[in-house]
Amino acid sequence: MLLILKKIFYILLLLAVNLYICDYAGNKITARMELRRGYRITRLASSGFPVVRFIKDLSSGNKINIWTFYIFIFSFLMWSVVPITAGLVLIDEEYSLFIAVVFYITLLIMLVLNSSRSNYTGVFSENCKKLLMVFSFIAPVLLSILSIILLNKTLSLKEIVNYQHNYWNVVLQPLGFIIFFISMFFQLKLLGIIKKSYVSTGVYGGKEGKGLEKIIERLSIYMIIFFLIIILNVLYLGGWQNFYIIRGEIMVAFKFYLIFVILLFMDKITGRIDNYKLMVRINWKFLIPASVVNFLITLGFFVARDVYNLVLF
Amino acid sequence: MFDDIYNKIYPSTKSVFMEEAGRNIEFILKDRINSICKSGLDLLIEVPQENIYEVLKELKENPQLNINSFQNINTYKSNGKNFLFINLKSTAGGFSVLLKIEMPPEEPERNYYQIIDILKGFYRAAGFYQRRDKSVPVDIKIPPGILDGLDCFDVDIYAEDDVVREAYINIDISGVLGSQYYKNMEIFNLIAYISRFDWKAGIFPEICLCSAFEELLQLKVTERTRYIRILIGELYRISNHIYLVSNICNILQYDIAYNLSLLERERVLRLIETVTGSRVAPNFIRIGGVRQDINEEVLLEVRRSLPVLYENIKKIEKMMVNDLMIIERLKDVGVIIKEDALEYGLTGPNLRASGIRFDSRKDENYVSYRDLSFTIPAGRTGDCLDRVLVRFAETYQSLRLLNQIMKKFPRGDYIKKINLSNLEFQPGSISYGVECPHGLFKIYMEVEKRNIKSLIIMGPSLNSLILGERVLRGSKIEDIDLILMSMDISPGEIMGT
Repeated sequence: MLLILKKIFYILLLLAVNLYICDYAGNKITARMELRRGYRITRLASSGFPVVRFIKDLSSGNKINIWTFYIFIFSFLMWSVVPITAGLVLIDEEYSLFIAVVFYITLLIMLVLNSSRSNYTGVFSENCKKLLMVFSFIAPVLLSILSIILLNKTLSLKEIVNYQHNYWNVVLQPLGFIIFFISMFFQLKLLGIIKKSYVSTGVYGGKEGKGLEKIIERLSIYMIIFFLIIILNVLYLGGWQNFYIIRGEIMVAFKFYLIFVILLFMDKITGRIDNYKLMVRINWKFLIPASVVNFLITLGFFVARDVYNLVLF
Repeated sequence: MFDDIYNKIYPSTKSVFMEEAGRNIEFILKDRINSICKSGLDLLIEVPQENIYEVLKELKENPQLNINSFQNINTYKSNGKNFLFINLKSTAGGFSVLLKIEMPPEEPERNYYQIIDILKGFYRAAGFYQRRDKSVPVDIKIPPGILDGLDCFDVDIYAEDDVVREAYINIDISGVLGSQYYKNMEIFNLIAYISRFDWKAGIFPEICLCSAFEELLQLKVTERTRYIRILIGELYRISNHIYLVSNICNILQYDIAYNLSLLERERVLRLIETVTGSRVAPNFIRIGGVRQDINEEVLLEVRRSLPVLYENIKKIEKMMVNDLMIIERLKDVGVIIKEDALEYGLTGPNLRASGIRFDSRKDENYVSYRDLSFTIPAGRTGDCLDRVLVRFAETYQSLRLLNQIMKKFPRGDYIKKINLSNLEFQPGSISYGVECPHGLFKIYMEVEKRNIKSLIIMGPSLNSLILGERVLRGSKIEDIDLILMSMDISPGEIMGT
């Protein structure tokens, strides 16, 4: 019991520290780009900025609805099956990958339901549209995950990491990695990494939502970002495997922040995609066909090797 | 009766003919139509309310006049009387017709809407001013302040799924200014305040006002003054166009180009600051000249900045044009076809983006553009992408003009040393227009001695806004802010109406 409590404490601490660092880094980069002067509040509060914003948001309202409450619960529940490192996992399940994906999709559904709280019909339809676009980006992700499952023949995240002690999966599945990364990036772009809210179009008043609700929404979006980065790390980048003499835990932290910073910069150099036309061009005409091709190649390889014995290694 | 009227028409030294018109304009004007078309002067006609239908019919259907474009409607008070002021334009002839209608004191609202109904039969754009049915609940209401930089109107959207079925733009909120702003204000004081009517490029209202008075006084400014005015005007034009690009990038959340373009705007604003001492409201132009001379150091600074500006703006353009996501988002969005652009009286870069090469800097010599060479860029389809690209192209032309100015900056006085302190004008009216970055900025004034009886700002942004209602129809909801922003609407001009 104490062991589990200790693990919960460590996981929460890790998430809190990460939240703080990522929020600060995101605002710092944005502020740096704003005429090289920065937001006034960022300059004033400096490293205490996330705390200042947290207190400011908290003071403006504390009402939450039931969906916001569920979002809050699910944001943390997600981490019960996802192993951050070998020891830092609460429930060591055989189907942890499957459960994690289910948790992730449930969280997104919660966000759709939460958007119905708005008094504006426009905000509701816009949110639904955006989140459905996010859902469509899940298709290539799932296909890439299927290829990984075929390759490693397991649904356990720990097993997948153990399988990568010789080669990282990125070496065997480069196309899958690229597809996963791009679709992950666009999901985060749609959700909004450091923008005010995931309702970002000016037309509907991106300023909607305040107080505790806003904090929880932002928390859930950060959790989705962390979740996707950790899953990317586990599936393709060797997870907590030691890298020569560097310890696995340090490698996890290094890879996590590297991917996060890359995502931040990519967010800055790409435009908004809330347009159906763009989504068709990016997702339906590129990512999904590419992921299907990737899956078919992987499947073909195993069929050729195991059924027809055509490949001799 | 016609003889009386005919004898009253005289070739004025002002750019406005003041006259009362009866039923048959063609008869009154006779062979003067050709000379009016050639000179490009504006035609002011006082029309009694009962004759408005005949006059409008004559103006619209007479092939010689061919008044095909509606500009705007204003109301104002003068000597305790209410007047309605209709601005129409002939695109082929290049001249405007200003109809001044005295409104009866009783039931002003009913009379107003009666005239609008008549006007609507001839010009579709006049429907903007008609009475709106407010009983139908609005699907989406966009209050002012939600769209960045466009906080002078609210938009009511009636939507079907995610497509706009009908859009109503309401500018009532900007009607707070009224005539109190300039009431009993001295002419010389007004120069300091006029730049507030266009806070994106504040120099152009000043140039417009001072040039109008110079025309009234038959005052010819020196060559150096003209060059200084062109210099500062072109700097403001560049600043305005880059600001538009930055706003578009902000809407698209294309942060890198947004910040880079803001940095370039900062560079231009610093140049403007060194010349005028101010950024937004320069208060720099005076009747007969400018407030202060430009010294060699400032000229050198401007000259040094030109290649840097060109390279950086080119870089931003390249960045945007090479980005598939930006192009996809801007292409075929908010298309304005040529015919609509002309009918709704669009001017400036928006008109040129629709494929019509018209620039009043080439046609009228209000400042000496005649000895400078530049081309007029034009778009093809008139969508948002074209409107952005035309702005980029105009920026390069402005840099080219600045380069030419640097090479032949004349010596001489920067202001005509005349005593304006005891100056008093005869009662009269004048209209004058300059090509500002949004389009043709026009003012109409009635002056008396040292005071301004009435001042009407006829900014180009209002025409863009009127056409906006039409363009928004059938577009996607997520494109609303993009379309309105690409039209380059300056809130100050709408405040003046």
